[in-house]
Amino acid sequence: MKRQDNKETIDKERRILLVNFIKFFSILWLAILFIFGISFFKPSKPKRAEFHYYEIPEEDIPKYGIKKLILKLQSLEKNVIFYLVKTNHSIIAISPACTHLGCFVNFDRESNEFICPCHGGRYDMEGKVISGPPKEPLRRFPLKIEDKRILIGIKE
Amino acid sequence: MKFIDWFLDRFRLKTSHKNIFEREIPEGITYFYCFGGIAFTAFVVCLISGLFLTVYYIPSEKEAYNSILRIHEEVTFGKLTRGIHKWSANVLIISMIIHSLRVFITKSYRPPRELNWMVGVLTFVIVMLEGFTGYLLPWDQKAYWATVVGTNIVGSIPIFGEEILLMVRGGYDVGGATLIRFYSFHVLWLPLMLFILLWAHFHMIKKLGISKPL
Amino acid sequence: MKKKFYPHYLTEIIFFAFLTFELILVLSLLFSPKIGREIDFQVPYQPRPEWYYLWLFWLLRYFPSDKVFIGGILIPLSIICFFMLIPWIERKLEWKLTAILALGLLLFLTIITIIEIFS
Repeated sequence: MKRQDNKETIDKERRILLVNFIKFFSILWLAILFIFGISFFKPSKPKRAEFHYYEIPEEDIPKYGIKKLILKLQSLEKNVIFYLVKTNHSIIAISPACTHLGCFVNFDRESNEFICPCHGGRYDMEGKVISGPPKEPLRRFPLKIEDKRILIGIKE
Repeated sequence: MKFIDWFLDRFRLKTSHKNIFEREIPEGITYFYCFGGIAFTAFVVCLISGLFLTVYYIPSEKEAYNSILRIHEEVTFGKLTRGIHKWSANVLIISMIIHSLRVFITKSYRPPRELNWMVGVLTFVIVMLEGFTGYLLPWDQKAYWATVVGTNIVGSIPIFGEEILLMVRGGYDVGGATLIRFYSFHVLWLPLMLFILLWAHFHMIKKLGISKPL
Repeated sequence: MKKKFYPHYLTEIIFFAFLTFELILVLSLLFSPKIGREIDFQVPYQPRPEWYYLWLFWLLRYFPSDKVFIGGILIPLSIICFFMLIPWIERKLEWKLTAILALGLLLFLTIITIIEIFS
């Protein structure tokens, strides 16, 4: 009789141990699955490369005012669109991506403003915010001037 | 009729599910109670038309738009199938809203059915996500810009925003990687979740019964 | 006689299932889907979401870029949480207040959606 009791308690302890074992490993494997999922979904090589400089053809540069330019890049297999804004003593290249949620802004010739079609953000000719939901000015592409040629820097 | 009787008998459908078929329906059920069934029908129609569409649709940056064009112009009944897919999705969402309104007004969400109510809300969220992921697949202007805006919202989360944005888009820009990601979620992940949730929903209805109208 | 699931309720459900399918079929025959324009970065475009996301589209107009997170993530999540926790909220607030809150929210979202559809 006593022996059987002993056996039963050992059996019980064994089962408790097994249950704890299973609990521990389920939590461990869930955590591993979670981490695996996150690292699997994240693209392996996020493109965060350096600026590469491309020449803007001279006939595309406006004498004064604003011009929308399309740069065809073979390496990226896509076109980069930007606005070249030329004033008397400065020249800047503005990215059309609205800083609110990323729609492309259009330039309105009548009011001389960039207007975002999505949520109505408005920017002036230099890309500063006039009104609407965006807070930051339009991003600019770096420009370099090398012996009268104008180069635009694009991240690749 | 004889065949049907024979089939039902041999399949043991009636005997094994006797408690489902013979359970009593409470008095005072109106046509308002149909919208859950309508939503399920719309879901099934959406699923079947979607299965047909996957045969011709190609989830790649270069081919996606052309494959939609091909579905419209070359595939027999292609345009109709796409129309059914789109309209059944709309009917699904509208009937789900009316269904949840009915459940709310008749107070059917009260215990012991509160878990079923939560499952229902979760189903609604996943159907909304199906709508969002499906919107990109035609790969036209509307789809592209809506996805740019939608994923930028995700990217606005403080601290982890950029990492999550990368995970959702599969890159810094919306492109081919995003398209195939959304496609995978639209046709595999989310429908699978819907199956599980709907099974749970029906299981609980079966066990708890239809709530008594007021 | 008490009504039973089979045959009383089942026949009605199946009848409505067929009705739903006919409705979908008629709708898709009458209003067949259109093909959008091909992606072109050079053409100005005003994107709009499907009608069931229009409320979010409207909402985002009022959140500047540093607060998009609140309008785009926190508010939808809290709406979902609110609807999910309704069985418990009702126990705390009583039926009347919960009904006013929930139906008011639904009415608000509907009105916004209608405004956005016609704007």
